[in-house]
Amino acid sequence: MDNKLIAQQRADQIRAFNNEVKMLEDEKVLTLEPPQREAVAQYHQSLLKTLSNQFDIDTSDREKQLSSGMKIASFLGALAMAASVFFLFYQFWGYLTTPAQVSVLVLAPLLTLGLTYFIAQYETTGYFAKLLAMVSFVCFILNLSMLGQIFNITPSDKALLVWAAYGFLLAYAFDVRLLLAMGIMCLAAFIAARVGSWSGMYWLYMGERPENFLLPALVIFSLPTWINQKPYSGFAPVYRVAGCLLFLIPVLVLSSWGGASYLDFPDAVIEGFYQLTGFVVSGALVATGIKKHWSDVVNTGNVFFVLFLYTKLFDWWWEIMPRYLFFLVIALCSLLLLFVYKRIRHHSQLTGEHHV
Amino acid sequence: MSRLTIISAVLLLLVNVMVLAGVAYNRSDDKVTQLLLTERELSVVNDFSSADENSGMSLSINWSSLSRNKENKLITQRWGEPDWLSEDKLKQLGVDVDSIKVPGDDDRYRDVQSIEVVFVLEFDGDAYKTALTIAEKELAEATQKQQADADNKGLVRSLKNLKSKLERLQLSDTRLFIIDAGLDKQALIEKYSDKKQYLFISGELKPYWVDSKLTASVKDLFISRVHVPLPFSDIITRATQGEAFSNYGDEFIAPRYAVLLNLGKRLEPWIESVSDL
Repeated sequence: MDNKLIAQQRADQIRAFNNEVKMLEDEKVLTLEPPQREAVAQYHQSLLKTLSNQFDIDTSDREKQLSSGMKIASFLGALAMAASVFFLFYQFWGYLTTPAQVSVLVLAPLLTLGLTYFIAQYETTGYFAKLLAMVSFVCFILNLSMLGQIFNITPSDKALLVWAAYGFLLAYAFDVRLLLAMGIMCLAAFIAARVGSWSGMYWLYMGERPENFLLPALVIFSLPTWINQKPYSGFAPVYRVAGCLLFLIPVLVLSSWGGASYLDFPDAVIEGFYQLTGFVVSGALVATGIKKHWSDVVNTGNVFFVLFLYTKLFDWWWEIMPRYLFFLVIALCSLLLLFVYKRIRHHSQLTGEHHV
Repeated sequence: MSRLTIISAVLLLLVNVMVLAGVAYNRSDDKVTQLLLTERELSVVNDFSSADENSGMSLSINWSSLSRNKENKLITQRWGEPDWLSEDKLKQLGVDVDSIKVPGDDDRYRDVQSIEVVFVLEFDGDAYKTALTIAEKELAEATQKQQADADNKGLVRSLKNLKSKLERLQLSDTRLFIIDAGLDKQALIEKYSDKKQYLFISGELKPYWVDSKLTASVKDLFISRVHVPLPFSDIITRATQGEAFSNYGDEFIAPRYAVLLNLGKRLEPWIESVSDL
């Protein structure tokens, strides 16, 4: 078993199997002989025990519900703890001498890293370690940004690269998807800043040219195809969704703000080009997602296809149509999309692709 | 300990060592410049949104420049188009002037890519003296006009404003003026060699094409604030008694402290000392 997600899927499969066998027996469709039943039960029990020890998976519905609660509490706790660390330093740093400020800033990420490792060794669920890893990441951001402020250092985009590296390292060391997303965002910002500075732009203004993010988007989307992510639970979807967002959001912006483009054409031509790109890419993402069984990509593609469609409809008809007619057109478009998806679903059922 | 945790710790240490080595390099050997400025040029940053939370102190670098108004008269204005930023100067700074000037549908306003340069800030030099001369001349002209038409309330008000403007310029306005920019830091340091009169700060220059005319302005200084460490922050707090510096309208005040500011090899400033005035 490669990762927690796959282990959890197997445990869910076993639970579903047991429920189904019980129903079949109740309806007198199937009756397992006692030795068969015992053999299956023993095998499942031992497998669940192994999976539970190895990955701390949920083996019952109750455990699953509690796990969801713990995930939410851990996420909120991490955000609040990170904010608390930031404001704590902000509140008291003025009363410290420069050597004391530097010591606190340098030691904070190091100590929290050590603590994260220590807790990860003794706490099997990993929630507390993940929370501390998040705090360590924030401490490192604080570390570099405050050193910059204390010593009046000229801001540099290289900080984004080292933050990305630390985010990735923590994410892989302690299996934290939130930190992976942070690392990806920092990496994307760094590549966008570099692409922007090649054209003479100051790196802090990378957002003024949304095209700067297209290259990082492609790099990030394709990363799981050339670096195996199987041992890490849910990492590949994070890369893919981040890649999709980093590509489609700039395209959405450029489809209605051609002036921000590097392309030397009239704004209307640029906007038309990006509107078409938006439709083609989001459609292609839906198709690829269905083919490769990437539900995350299908959903992202769907959302953006609808967004591009509604933006376009708004541009065309909001001014000239009565409101009731405009919303009726939107409703009809939604119905049309429903029919299209129904047909695709029907087709995939016929060809046996019903796991997406 | 896992391999990734060890690499993480090494990364943290390495990055901090590099940052601190950079600071040490900036502050090593000869300073590029050392200026004795006052609260006029370096006033305490009042970040009202976080006044209760932030215990740190930093000083804002206040600067100005000489630019021309619509009547082509020289005026003192921070965010105007500096008089020295001619078309030839923009060409020297690498702005592709010829391609910007190609006629098109967007002649009214055309967005042009900003450029990264090193700005030269002159302290208490010719630019400041010119600003004083302009203010004195404006006041003399207004006085003459008012004497010729003593009952004109508009002229009386204008005269009062100009008097106030001159006094403010003499007493509390900044004497730091951006007078030049370049791409080669070393060439600028050699050209403006008086170590007690010039500051060099990297920043961004924004060219514009407005109404078929090429112009440019200072968009930003990359280091616009200087951090005040202990014990200097205590001296400034004592000197100001927590009262914000003012150089607006008629409520301008005299500076209350002086700051000896160093500029290092990487053009990063730091405070050498602070004294009461």
